Amino acid sequence: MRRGEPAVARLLAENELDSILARVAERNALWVPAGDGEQSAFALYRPGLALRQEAGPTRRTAKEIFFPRTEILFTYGEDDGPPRLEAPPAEVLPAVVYGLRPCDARALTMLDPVFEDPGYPDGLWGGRRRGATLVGVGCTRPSRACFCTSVGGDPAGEEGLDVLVVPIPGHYLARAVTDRGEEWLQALDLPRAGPDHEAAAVRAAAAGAGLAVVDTEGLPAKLERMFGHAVWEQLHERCLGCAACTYLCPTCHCFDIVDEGGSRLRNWDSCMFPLFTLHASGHNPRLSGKERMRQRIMHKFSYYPQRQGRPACVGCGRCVEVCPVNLDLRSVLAQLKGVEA
Amino acid sequence: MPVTDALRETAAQLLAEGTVQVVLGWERGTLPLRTTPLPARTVEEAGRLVADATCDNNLTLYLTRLKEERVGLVARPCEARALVEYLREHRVTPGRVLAIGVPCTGMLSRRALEARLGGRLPEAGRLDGDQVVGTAGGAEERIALAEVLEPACRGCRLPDAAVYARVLGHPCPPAGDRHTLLQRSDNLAADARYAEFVEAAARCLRCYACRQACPLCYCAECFTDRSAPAWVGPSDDLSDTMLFHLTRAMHLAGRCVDCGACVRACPVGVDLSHLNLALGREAAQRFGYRPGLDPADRPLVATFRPDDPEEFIR
Amino acid sequence: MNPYLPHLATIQEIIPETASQDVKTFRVVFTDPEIRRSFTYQPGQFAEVSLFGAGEAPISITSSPTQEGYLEFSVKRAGVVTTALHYRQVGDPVGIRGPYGNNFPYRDMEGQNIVFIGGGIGLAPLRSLITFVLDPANRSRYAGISIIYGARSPGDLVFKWELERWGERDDVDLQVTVDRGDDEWTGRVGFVPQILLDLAPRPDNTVTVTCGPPIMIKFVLQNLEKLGFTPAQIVTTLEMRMKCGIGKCGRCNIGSSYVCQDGPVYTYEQLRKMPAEY
Repeated sequence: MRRGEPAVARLLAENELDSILARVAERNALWVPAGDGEQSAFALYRPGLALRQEAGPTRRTAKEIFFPRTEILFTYGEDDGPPRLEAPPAEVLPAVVYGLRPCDARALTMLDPVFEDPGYPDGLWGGRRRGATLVGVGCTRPSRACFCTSVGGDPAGEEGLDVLVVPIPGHYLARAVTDRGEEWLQALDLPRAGPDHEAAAVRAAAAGAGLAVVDTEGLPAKLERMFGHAVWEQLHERCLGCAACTYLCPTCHCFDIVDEGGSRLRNWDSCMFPLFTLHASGHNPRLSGKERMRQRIMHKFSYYPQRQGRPACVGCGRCVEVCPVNLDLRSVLAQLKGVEA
Repeated sequence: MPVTDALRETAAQLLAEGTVQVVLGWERGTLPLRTTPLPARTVEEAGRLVADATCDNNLTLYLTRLKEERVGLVARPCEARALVEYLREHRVTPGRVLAIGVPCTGMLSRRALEARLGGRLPEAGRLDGDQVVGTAGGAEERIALAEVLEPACRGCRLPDAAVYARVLGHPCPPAGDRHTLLQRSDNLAADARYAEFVEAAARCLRCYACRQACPLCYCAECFTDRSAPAWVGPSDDLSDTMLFHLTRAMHLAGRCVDCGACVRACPVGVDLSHLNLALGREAAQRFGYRPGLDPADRPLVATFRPDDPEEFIR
Repeated sequence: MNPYLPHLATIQEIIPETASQDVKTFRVVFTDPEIRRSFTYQPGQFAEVSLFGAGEAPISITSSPTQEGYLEFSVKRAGVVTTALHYRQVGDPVGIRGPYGNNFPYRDMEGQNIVFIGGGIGLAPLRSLITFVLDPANRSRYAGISIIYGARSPGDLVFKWELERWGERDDVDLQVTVDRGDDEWTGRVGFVPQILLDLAPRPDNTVTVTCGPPIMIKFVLQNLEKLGFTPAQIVTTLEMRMKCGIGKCGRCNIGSSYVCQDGPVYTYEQLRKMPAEY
């Protein structure tokens, strides 16, 4: 968007959403939040598919659209034949993602510097990202585990989005955030909306719904002194060492690379697994759950901030919901913030 | 006396007199109708213990992680059955664990409750006798606990009473034969059953929450964590995911105590407990073996009798 | 450009290093002549070596940029990939991508004495720099060159042919030691850290470069400090489990430092400020 030029807000009638999405899906791959409860995820749109809108964040994150659980880096042919290397075409893949929460989009912007580091751009992530138009829906009803405002987020935040849609009675108010978003909205040919303050209203509504507050002020700097702190001993005690938190985290991006059936594959991996750092010699620098949990917290709230200037957490609350033993990240952060160091 | 009060009092006393150095129990969690494991080491911490229908996790798995010499274990029938297996498999030494038996009303299924609340997670909730009171989208609903019970609790089995050192109230009566839960899958045609398995495997993320939450899945090195040779690949290949679940089920045959902790731990709602149930039924029907009941029993796969049915190895 | 796609190369020569053959040196040549010319690297860098069907592993380049036309990797048989590599024969294909990581600060070392302290297979990354500074084009830029190298037994010494050549030179002080000798061994017997103390190199205008098993490194560091070396004068190179090699897969970090990009070469001064998690 050009500076100083407020985007024109457009109105999208609630009962026309499905037909509009159907039109969008005719031209592009269209991802929408769908499904119930633990089975909710972003799915490719098909007519009649019920969108998950009010029921809270999808259990599975939008990162999967750009960073699938398993993907082929290249193929090499038969295991014992001469290798014939073939990479998937590095292309821009046009797609629209509708119905992201602002935190979902913000999380993608945190992964961009990892995957698209100018030294070694990862074409697979980049191709999907460059081709995708992200249409977010402002969050009027945060979930019980949400704490986005405690980590720099905003229920009506625009970061990472091309278009922000705000629900108002009977309608959605759509406004472009980027030129790409403006183009996309213009193509839909929607009526203009009157002057509005709806984004502010969304914020107020979200605040009223009781967004959790976690004081993370100064935590990254403090954590730099806390690697050897005794508190880690207690913090990990209940942790089971599964990867539910990391696999359902929108900013966790660790992966493994293996050869299987003629392809070199990239698979999700988790710092919570002992195998993650196990050397071929048998040595393991992160031997116990303590070191592994410390790595997860430190990566998000100390190491990533040291490299990228902000914590790698958007406060979506998924890890809080999925932890089998209710080891709540918000309490962990509060404890880290509270102890002497 | 309400069970929570009795529990806190007993735990505090055991800690104060030094009978145990830690009491492994639950305390209120940070989300509505959730609890979290609490290793209570002081009288003050004992004052936070709770035991009710929201205690999701099977605590027995923490026994071997604790360094203390004497451990109090708050034990519902689920913990007690797992403890029986631990004793039988020499995972804990007899006498290290003092099991404090608490009554169990069956566990609240978070999944069932969410469905009853219109697909929403409750913003607030509490137990009120045999009722669950949940608030979702601002509306409060009152639901009988019996209607939103964990499937695993519909056929509880009580271990030998001798496994408990203390008993605080009466455990719930067995609510029927657990194996009747298999009727649905028994009645499915093989291809329909396979289709369900495929669907579940496709959804599984291989986060291993099921394995980690299981008290009997305690191998120091799981076969999935072996890299040379890699028995099972880490990708989303269906056959690898199926292999993981089938092998896990086989490794738990005659050992699974039906606590359902694996199902509750799954973040994406995969429920393959019928695999464990079906193998448990084999163990029961063919070998008369019911895991988790009697510490004096020999482990199923370490037992041989000349008259064991063996037509399958013909 | 897909950063995970390796260049194809062929194994040109395999040199068994240790008596048990658990270490071999592989000389590989890129298939594409253009890559052969354009693939440049610095001493201390590593590459991801691919065995298609087995996977890939990060391995330090043990040859020197002064040796043109090929790359050499000395590999101890340990995990899946290195075992697969040990089964390969001359003429077999491998994949190479890189070079990755930082390098030994050889420019900063100019005009100084260099003391190399290696143990076992830890000589492999040092050899790249040793060959580089001993090259006729570079030798005059550096003052005295000493090499202290040890292994558990005579059979475990690597680069014996190289050791011989270095030993013959007047401008290199080579000291080879083994933890335990055998009937034929007439050289030094003793642990590397102790030999270091005995030789007592002087710290002024000297930089040390060390690599070896963790227990050796631990005592070498202690003894260097005893000899008056400052942490900034001690350079080492680390080994970590890596996958991508390009700062994305998230497993090789020590604190906020990614060994694949910010390392593997660190001064002891840098390491002391990092969490001890390696």
